[in-house]
Amino acid sequence: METATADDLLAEIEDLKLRLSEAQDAIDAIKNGSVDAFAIRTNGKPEVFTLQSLDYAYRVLIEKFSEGALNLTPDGLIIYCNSYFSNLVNIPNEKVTGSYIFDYISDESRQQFREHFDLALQGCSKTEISLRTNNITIPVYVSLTNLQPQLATVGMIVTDLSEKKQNEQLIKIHAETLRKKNVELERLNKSLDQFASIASHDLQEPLRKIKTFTALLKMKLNTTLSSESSELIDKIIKSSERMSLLIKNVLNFSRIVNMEKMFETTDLNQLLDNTLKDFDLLILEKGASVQIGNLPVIEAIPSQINQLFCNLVGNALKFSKLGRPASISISSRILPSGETENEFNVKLNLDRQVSYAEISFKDDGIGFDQQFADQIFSIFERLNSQEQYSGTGIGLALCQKIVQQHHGGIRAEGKENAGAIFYVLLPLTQSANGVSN
Amino acid sequence: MKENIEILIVDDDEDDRKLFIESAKDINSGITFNTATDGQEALRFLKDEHNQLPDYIFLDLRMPRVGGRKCLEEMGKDKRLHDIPVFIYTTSTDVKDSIELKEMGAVHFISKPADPVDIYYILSVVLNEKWERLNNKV
Repeated sequence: METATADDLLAEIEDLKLRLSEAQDAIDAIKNGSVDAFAIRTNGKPEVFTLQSLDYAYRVLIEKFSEGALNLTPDGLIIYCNSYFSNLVNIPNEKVTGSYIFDYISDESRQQFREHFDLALQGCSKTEISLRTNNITIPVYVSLTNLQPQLATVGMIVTDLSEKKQNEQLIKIHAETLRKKNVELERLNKSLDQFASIASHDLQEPLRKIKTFTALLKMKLNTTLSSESSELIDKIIKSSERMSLLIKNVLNFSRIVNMEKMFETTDLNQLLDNTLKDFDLLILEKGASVQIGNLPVIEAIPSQINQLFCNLVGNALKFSKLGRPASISISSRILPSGETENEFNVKLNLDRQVSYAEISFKDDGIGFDQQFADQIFSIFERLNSQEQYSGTGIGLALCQKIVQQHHGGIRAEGKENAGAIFYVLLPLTQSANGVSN
Repeated sequence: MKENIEILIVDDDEDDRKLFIESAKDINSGITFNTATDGQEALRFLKDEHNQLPDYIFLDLRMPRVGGRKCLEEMGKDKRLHDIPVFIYTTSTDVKDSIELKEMGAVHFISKPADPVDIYYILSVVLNEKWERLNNKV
């Protein structure tokens, strides 16, 4: 055994005294809260010890938390709860502290909470349950964490889901309303389709037959009919024709308005070709000549443009001068963006940023007085008497509807007895109108 | 005009069949007619190899059981029937129908005229031309 000198022992006593006084200082500092943390060097490595005054900051944070925070013993006794939780359950904080958490869980959730609490004693657990207090049920999300080994307690965070649930409920109600409205809309669309089919076929057929058989009757009775009777028969035929035309045109009009907008790249030459094929017989009958220029390819709804061409060509043929073969010319030019606005197009509200195709339909028919140039596009508006030129006054209204659906414009120039020109302006592409194909 | 034309009329409406045949006979008394009252009957007739295939088919759209559209579609699938020119002969005046059926291969979309005189004119134009199916892609 080593022997120590008196000097050595005195030095050691001095050293121990110093360390004791340091330790005493540390204890005092901890007691009066003048330090938050201190580091002690053990085996040459610093180890940080935090003190109570530091978790004061955390306590404030937790107190100001907008979620419930509790500290529970393993048997569920609440040893701490923040004011958010006591406000949530609407019981004074000092009463909540010291009570059991199970008293705040609704009957339906108790079993589930118990299981999750037991799970949390092994580690942590999360679940959605409902609290029950003062006869009010509060849906909450709870997160449980075992704070061992530092503390023999379980930390519990409670998130109030009332608002979320209410919103979810509202969304559910709205979704349900929307679903019902959709079903209703689908039903309405279906009945509209059905109506369209009934109108185009079932209503037309008997009308057509009235006309057919009246005409046959007239032919059979030909020589024996008095002129008065013949006139009456003609009136039956005319009326059924008119009725049939009305049904057809009103139907077309409603179809255009309700039609889904399906734009596709469309060669107008091909469409016009198809249209003219449908007029083969009438063109032949009227001995009409039709000149066609080259038309562009644009983004359009083909069936609607077909209808548009149909109406315009049909009009040109219909309003030809009596006893003179009609001459119709159809041509087009491109109006680049920025050059669309001229004195004629100003009323059409065209988009300066967009390039348009201008397609003109020129005829040498009976024309019209320019003062009626706008009026002719109104539905049921007619410039000629039924006796002279049959019609329903829907054709041009339909044309206008179609060009509007295409974000374009239509206008007419005419002179009485000197023909008419219809100008159709259609955007080359639909991208400026937020249309995707 | 080709002599001995054979036409198959597919229409559930007896009046329309009669009017059609009367007008057609006025134009060419040599035409022979077969009739079917719906698409099913038409397909049965066409698929029976004992029957001579018609030169033209006039096909109504709205018929009970198998309508005109379905009938045209079935014909398009059959190599034997594929090339027979089909004229849609219907009360419908729907442009959409017209476009779709022509895309399916119909030669012409004829809305049944009300005036018997017009039936005569239309048929005389139709029967004086030589027709082929528009679309042989089907």
